[in-house]
Amino acid sequence: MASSSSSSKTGLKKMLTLKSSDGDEFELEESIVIQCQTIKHMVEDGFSLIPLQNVDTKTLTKIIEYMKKHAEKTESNKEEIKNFNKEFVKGSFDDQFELVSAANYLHINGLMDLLCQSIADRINNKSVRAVREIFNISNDYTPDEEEKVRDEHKWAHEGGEFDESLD
Amino acid sequence: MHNEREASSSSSIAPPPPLPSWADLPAEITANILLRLETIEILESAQRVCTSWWKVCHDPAMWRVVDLKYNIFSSIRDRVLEKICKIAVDRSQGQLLKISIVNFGSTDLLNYIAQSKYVDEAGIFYCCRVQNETLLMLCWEERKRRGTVKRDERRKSLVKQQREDCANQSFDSESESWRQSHALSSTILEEQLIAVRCTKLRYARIRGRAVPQGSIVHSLTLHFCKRLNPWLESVTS
Repeated sequence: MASSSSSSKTGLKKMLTLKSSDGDEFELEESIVIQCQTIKHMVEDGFSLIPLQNVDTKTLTKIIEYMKKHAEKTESNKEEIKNFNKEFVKGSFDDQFELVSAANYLHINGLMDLLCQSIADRINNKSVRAVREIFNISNDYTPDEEEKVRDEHKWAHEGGEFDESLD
Repeated sequence: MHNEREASSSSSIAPPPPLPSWADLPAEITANILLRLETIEILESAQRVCTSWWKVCHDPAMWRVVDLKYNIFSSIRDRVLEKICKIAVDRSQGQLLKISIVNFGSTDLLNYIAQSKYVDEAGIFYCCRVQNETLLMLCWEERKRRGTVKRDERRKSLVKQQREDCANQSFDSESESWRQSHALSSTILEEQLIAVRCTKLRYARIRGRAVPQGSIVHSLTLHFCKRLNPWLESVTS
C-alpha cells in the first residue's frame, strides 16, 4: 500500500521520495533516510526520487519503520529502541530473507547487524537437518560429498547433542 | 535427502509464492550471518548444510576472529577444542586477527599457532596454561609504523615454555582482589614479556578460575605500555 505523503508541512525539512519495486512511493525526511548509505550517496549526487528496484513495498515499509524509529534515537530512549529491535525481528522468518537482502543492498549497517544476529541465533545449537528445514535449504551434497564433509571432522560430532526442533 | 516443503496449505485461494531458499542468499550476507556462530558450530553444523554454505565456511574472511572456550559443562572435550582451533588457524590463511582461547590449550597448540605459516602477518592472542586452572592470555598487535618484528624473534617467544609455578592462586572477586592480582599478574607477565622480545604488546587479559571445580570465571584486562618492561599503565575491568 502506498502511503501518500503525510507530513510535508514541515517546511524546511528536505523531503525525499523512495519508490519500491512495486511502484509505490514513500515520502520521507532526508534526515531519516540517510541512515541508509546507498541512499545517502544518491542524495549527495542530487537525487530526490529514489527508485529501489530490489526492494518491494512490503519490505520497504518494514525498513522505513526501522529507520524512523532509529532516527529518534537519543541517549535516553536506549531501552525503547532495544525493545523495538526485539519486536522487529520477531516477524515471519521468510520476511527476514527479503529484509536482510534489502538491508544489505541499502547498506543500513545497524539493521544488517540486527538481522544477521537474529538469524544466526536461529541456527545456534541446531542439527544440520533442523537448519535445512528452518531455512528451506535442500541438501545438494552428493552422498559421497556428504560423507566426506562429515568425516572431515568426525571427532567433533561424537556428542550429537544438537537440537532437532524447528523453533 | 530433500526436505522440500509440501504445499501444506493446500486448498487456499491462491498458491503462495514459493518460499525463498536461504541457500540462494548472496555469499556475503551468508558470511555475515555465519560468522556470528561459534567456531564449533560452523564446523559441526553450518558447513554441512549445503555446498554454498560449505564454500562460505571455507572463506578465510570467516576466520578472522576465532573464539574458543572450554566449558566444564559442555560435552566437548578440550582435546577436541584444540583440534578445532588448529583447523580454524589453517582456514584463516593469514587473515587471523584475533584468537582467543579460554580454559584449554597446550604448548603443542601454541607451537602450532606460532609455527603456522599463516599467522605470520597477523597480530595474535597468545594463551597459555599457566596452571591447571588459570590461563594467561597475551595479545599483541603488530604495528608496522616502526618496522615489523622479525618473525624468528616472535616465534622464539611463542615457543618459549611457560613457567608453571607462579600462578597457583585464584582471584576471589574481581574488585576486591585487584591489588593482589596486580602483583601476581606482573610476576607472571614478567616471565612472559621477557620472553617476548618484541615491543608490540598492547594489552594482556588474564582469566583465572577458582580452583576446585570452581565455576566462576573471573577476568580482567591489563593495559601495558609498548615498551619491553611490563609496566602496568592502566587497568580496565
